[in-house]
Amino acid sequence: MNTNNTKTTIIEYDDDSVRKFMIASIFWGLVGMGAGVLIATQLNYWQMNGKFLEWITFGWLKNEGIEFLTFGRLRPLHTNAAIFAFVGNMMFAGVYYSTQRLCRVRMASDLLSKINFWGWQFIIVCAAITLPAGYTRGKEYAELIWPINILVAVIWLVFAVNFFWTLGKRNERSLYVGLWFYIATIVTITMLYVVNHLSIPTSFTHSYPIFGGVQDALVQWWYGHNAVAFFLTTPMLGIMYYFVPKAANRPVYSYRLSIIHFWSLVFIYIWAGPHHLLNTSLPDWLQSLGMIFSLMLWAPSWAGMLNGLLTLRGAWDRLLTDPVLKFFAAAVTFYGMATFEGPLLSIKAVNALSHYTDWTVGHVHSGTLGWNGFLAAGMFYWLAPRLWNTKLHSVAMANAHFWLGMVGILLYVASMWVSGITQGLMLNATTENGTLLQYPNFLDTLQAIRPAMLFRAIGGGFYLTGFALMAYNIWKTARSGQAVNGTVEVPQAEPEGSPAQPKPGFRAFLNAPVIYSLLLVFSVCLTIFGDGGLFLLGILMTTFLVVMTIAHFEACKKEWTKWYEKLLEHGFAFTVLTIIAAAIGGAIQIIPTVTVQRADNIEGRIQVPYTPLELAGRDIYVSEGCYNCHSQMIRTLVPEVMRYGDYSHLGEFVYDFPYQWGSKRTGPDLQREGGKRSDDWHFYHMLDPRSVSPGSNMPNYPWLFEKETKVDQLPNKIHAMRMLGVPYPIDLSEEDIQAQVDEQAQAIVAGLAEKGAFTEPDKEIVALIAYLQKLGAYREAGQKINAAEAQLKSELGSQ
Amino acid sequence: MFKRIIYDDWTSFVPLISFWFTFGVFLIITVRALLLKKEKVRHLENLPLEDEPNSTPAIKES
Repeated sequence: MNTNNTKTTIIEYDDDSVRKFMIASIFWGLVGMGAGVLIATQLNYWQMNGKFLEWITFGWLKNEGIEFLTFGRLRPLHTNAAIFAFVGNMMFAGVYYSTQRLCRVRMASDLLSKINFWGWQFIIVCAAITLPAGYTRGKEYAELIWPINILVAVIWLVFAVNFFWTLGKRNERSLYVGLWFYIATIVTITMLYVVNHLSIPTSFTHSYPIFGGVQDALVQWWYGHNAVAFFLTTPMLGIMYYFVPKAANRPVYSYRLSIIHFWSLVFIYIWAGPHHLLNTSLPDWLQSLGMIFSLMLWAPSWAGMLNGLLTLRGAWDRLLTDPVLKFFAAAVTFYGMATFEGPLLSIKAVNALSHYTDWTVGHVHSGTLGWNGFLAAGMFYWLAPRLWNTKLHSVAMANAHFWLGMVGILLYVASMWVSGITQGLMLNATTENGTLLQYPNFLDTLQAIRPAMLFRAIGGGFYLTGFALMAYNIWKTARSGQAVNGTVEVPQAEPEGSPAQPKPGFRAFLNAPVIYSLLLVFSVCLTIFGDGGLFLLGILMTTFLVVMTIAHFEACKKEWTKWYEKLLEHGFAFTVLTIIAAAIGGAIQIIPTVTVQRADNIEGRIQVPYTPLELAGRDIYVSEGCYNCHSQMIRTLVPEVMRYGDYSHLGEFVYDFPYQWGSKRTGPDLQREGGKRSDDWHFYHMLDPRSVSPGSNMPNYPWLFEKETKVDQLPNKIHAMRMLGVPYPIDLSEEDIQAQVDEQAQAIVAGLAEKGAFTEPDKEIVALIAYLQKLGAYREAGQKINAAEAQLKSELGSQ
Repeated sequence: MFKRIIYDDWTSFVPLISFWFTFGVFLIITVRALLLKKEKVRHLENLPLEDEPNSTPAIKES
């Protein structure tokens, strides 16, 4: 109770939003993990791509495969559901609960909270419909089509406004470290999402990204890696820094360490994206940056892990009885394991073995299931009794969940280690004198890892069963209590300008240390980039500023040391510094790549642009999610060159919007697939892969033989491509496009008919074959862009 | 030719600059963290534990 004479008021928190987000997280978690288990079984049993429905309906649903259920379409559904639906809703629940309490104020707007909740659920439903239907942008974790992208941006903005508005109204001046992590999440995800989703729409359901080839690969993994960093890690760390001390009933082990953890993590994480592209045709300096910064990332990650784990010091005995602490301890341990494994996999030599194999998949799942999933479970078990003012329905059931989940993760991760290392070693193995591959048939390596893939599905099943137990336990807990909202007694609002009111943020930002730093950065830039007078001015200015900075510091030491303390109390200044810290790495990597690696700067090989039919075929390839299992990138490694052909050159992807390098090889690389096999081989392979590749786990694609290629969309697509710099002739009319498509399609159909494979020219399979046969086509860049245009014109003219 | 000189040099020194820049940021933050006053640290680290000192849950109106 308030014991002094200050007038107080009771604030009731908005815990209704927390409850809703929590329930949504559990529901979507079940959906996402269910999809995960299904696609895990598809890797071992091709019949799980739809055929199984024929069996369980006793022949009623007769099919050879259902397009909405293939691995290529469901894998994006699984990843998006796990990341944005399960972890996203859990993040909102944790942020809404802890922010209100750390700021001692109700969320600023109930309306915005409601829009945030229902808008996010609407987005998830849209994703759940469009992804299985094959509407995709073809970029991992960024598959959603452009109208949904806009919706995501709007809802994220609503969340940001609500959050920062709440910070502005807070009754506690200091910003706890958990809130820092939330601020970093909001600003960085905004930046990442917007840049990686910049697209040119060609219809309501289709667009091309504005970046292509190597640029797209770099931007994509800048986004993809940092989606892990700033969606699956920083908000989780904020939640850890709030909920672990609460559950252990003791403050965080070292607050000072948390400061170092935050700034070094936010600053370093953003640079590490290129480690997803090691040994590829990404420029070497970017690969080096990605590897170095990934190794450096180990330190701040373990600082956070140790800080979380040591917060439990003195409470270890409670681990035996308290499922919340049990989940938290395991979650933080998995965070430590995953953040050790990440830098390890980022070492170029290790990556040569691990990349494109299940090792990476296991690494990701130890992070998502172990770190995110267990943290979510611990938080939900802690929250449920408090949100419904009751006791947890069953501690025993929560313990059973823990052990089912733990065994599930260990089975999963261990089997993926075995699978990844086995397949990696087999793919790289050569005969004794090193001149021949030991396992030239890719399928041999697939058969070797089938038992491991079975254990993966079993492990996933264990984890899902444990999660379902939690859903039941929380449901029963909610039923046994009554929904309550927390309250807090706070002093009544003071007049403007009084000590209790936070001062405007820019005062904390505009102070001597910051101004000197900015001026120094400016003067150093003048020195580096300027010439003549500007260079001289830069040198003089830098020298002058260094002397002034030292003199000023000596004269006003006290003032200088206060700025950081001020920063801890000013959300705006703190947010600006966070944006700068997070943006620097991306800017240094992306800006030179985007400005330099263009078609007109390419030396050596340059890609031959796609004909209209091939472009349509490529869009089918993207729509079916083929990139989920096939790469189009032959790395600069001897065994890869021996297996797939000459290593990929940077210019060979310059007209690929989006890039399709992939991140996992369940099947072989396709970069040099063009002309390697006959049209009828592809025909039968898509109809029934096992008829030409015995033992393959690829789904059948019978609908490609029934659905018609959307030729009417090609003029818009080619127009967009031309805007992106692809040298399609300006005078290419709709009639020309149709004529070219017909001519090329009929030639393919005639060739197929000669081999006894019959189809019609307007079917999707024809366009797909055209695309597959074009893969790897390049020419030496003589007059570069003009030569490419001339070649394309001559190709179009000759058909 | 000019284009090549600029960009080739750029790629060799960017990783080094980036590393030392990051190291500088890390050093500054570490010094700042270590110099943070004890009372301030105590106040900050106890924020999650003091967030509902006098609260009694209110039954949610349905």
